[in-house]
Amino acid sequence: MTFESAKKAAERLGCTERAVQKWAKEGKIPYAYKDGRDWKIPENATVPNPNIKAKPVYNNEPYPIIHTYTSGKILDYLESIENEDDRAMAYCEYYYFTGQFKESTIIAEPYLDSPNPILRTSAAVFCLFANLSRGIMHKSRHAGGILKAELARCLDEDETDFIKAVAVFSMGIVNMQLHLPEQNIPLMRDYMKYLDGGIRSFACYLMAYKAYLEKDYSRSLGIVETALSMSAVQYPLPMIYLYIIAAMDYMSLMKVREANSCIEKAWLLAAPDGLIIPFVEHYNLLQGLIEKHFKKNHPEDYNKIIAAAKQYNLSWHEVYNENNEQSVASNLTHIEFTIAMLYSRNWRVKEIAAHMELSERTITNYITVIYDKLGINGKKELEKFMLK
Amino acid sequence: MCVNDEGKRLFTIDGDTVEVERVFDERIGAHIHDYPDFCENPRVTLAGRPWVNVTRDDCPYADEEYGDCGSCKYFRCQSAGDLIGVCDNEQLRLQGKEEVL
Repeated sequence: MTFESAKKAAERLGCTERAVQKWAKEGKIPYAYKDGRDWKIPENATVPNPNIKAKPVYNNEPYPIIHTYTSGKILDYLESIENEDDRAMAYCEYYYFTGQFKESTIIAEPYLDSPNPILRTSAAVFCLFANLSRGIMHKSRHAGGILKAELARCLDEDETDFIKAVAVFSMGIVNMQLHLPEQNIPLMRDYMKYLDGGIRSFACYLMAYKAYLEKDYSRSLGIVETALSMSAVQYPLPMIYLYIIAAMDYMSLMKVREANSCIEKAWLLAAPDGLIIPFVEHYNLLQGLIEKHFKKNHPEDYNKIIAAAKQYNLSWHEVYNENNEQSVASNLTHIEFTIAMLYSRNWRVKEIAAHMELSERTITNYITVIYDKLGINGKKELEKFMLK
Repeated sequence: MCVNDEGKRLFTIDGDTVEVERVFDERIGAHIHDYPDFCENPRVTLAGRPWVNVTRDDCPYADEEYGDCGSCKYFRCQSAGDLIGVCDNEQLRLQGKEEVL
């Protein structure tokens, strides 16, 4: 379906632009949607029947893979989805979470123009992250713009609570993953009740992540524990993310054994379907756990994670530093960043050495290299260049 | 800190000069400056001030929040950003030495 501006539609229909905007706002033009401040009108739209009031009803399942699948049988699940659009979006998710970014964007991009807000929003999230992971920043930003516009449209208009919740949830994913400053986005917890299944569990992950970024690690762990114990049904993807956030919390609390256990649980769920991206997205905040768990035991997966993390982190830093007053160091290697993170969080040299299975002298040498690169000479200054 | 033609760094405080060579570190895979470990090989300036590495993090007098010499109020270096310097804490000063102006 192709769209035109309200002005162009007005010329075609022989009426005023204001009338077209009013009809669109009242839902009298099927599939019309707001892109920022402008309305997009289907090119085949006609002057609405004055009696039409109903809006189209969308029954699509947002984020099918996040919602549910059986661990180890993800491909069977994809093929079992009957609705064509839902199946396409599920493949888009699958390709993203397995690191096949190009394939993910090929599926998602056509849905960016979809009149269906659920499909449009889901597609925008995966276009944003898949393009960011490929370093195609203009496309990633474009997708981010669509998400913002969709959220604004949903909150401004008489949308269903479910559609609003999907928009808030989607924006929450972006904001948490990219550590963006909160820009008047409604609280996730106010919309949780409109979501169900795995989406609700994933929303818990977003709330736990928020608590983590606020350095409230105990609260974050509490949210994770509640989310994991809340349901008898297993939601593998949200569980992977929940275990990862718990590992991050435990590392910040210097409980390495517990952190390792969480990473193992996450990997047990992720490995059968090759879902490496949750580990890529949190590589820096896992502070050496990837090296420790994957390097020797799963060298092939380790290499895939490192390769994906390299581009992801490069793009991530660009977005983060653009949107935050404080810049995060972007000129450090993976291992330097990991050591710098631990050291800035008050781990002592000998503790870092034990965790990373390196000598104290090597850790000290790494720290001097880090300081040289950043032009600093103390933890106090290092903290400013690190993630919260 | 001064850098000589061979890439060595020279640090001079209170009349004492420490020379730091550039070496290849196989583990890191790059050339780095090989700073002496002043915990293993203590050294004091002519004024009796102990040399310290900024990375030292086990000093009982260090700032509690950070714990490293680089962030400590007693740390003094030749130039901003130097990775070694001296400790100006009187309690760690070698007794019997005079202040050098």
